[in-house]
Amino acid sequence: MSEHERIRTLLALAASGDLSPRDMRRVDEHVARCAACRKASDELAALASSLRALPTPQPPAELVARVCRLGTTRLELQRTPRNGTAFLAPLVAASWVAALATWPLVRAEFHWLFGGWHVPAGGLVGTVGAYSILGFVLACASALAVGMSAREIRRSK
Amino acid sequence: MAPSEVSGDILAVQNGDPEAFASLLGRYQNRLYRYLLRWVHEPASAEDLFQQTWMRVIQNIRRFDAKRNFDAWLFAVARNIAIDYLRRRRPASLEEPLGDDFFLSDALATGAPGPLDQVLRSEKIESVRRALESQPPVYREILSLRFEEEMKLEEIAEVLSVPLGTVKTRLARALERLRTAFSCMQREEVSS
Repeated sequence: MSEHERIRTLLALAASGDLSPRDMRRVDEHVARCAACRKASDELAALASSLRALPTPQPPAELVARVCRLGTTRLELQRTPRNGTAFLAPLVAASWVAALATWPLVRAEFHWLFGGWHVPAGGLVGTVGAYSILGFVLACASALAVGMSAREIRRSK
Repeated sequence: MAPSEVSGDILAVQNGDPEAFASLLGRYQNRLYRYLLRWVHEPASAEDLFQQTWMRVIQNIRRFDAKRNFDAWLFAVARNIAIDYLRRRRPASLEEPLGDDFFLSDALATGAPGPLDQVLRSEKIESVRRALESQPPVYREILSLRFEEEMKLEEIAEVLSVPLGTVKTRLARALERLRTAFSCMQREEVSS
């Protein structure tokens, strides 16, 4: 490839201002003595300048307003599950505490129901296990309630 | 708006702040709309893609790392949406063949500023716009990103997800093609 051909490949990038100083010097030196490349270089530079001067089309105001409205709604919807999740953890913890605290009362009141389910005295593992089952059931119920509530909020929007 | 303000808005949008979203939308609305219009030509389609882009931004904004370049990320999102749209509508339109080379006349020469020169200049800019619109989308896009959005080549490479060398080649080819198209238009106007 001759020097002329090499420079031709650089003219467009020279016009867009994307050549290194070293390549730019090479282009300038060649353009100074080559009429065809000078003409092409001038045309490309004028085109680059015209492209920069093209008018900017504006989006319709109602489109921007609609996107803003939709965006706001979407952001609120995205926030709702996070609020639900943040609310869920303490609720589950509270369910566990309530289950552990009230289990002796529940057992005493409903001994006829739990008659066949005997937890041996001093059976720590069995007692904790029984408490855990009740706590788990209550936590699931809480989670379900929170989930349904979040869904209702989403539907209402 | 300074880059730090944009970063602040992005962090706020990530936390669900609608006012920050409105600020971000106001900041980028013209540039994004222009970019999409360069892709699809028709204002109605550009409007549809504009809305889709912002909805996609909201959907994915939490995964965006605020230390990265938001401009490049936003335009990459818009680009993917525009390409999907064009593939659905005109599968061949993204790969149009290159044309033959012509030499451009002296129509681009600039004269001394005056009323007549201003008219000629606005006519010239209109011709350049038409020449730009006659180009395939990949070339329109890179010309728009470089000259209208004033993005650096590295940013363009990030938007297009291609190496820097590819950006340089594509930009050079796009500008040469535009010169050819503009030259043809000038010849037709002179002969008619």
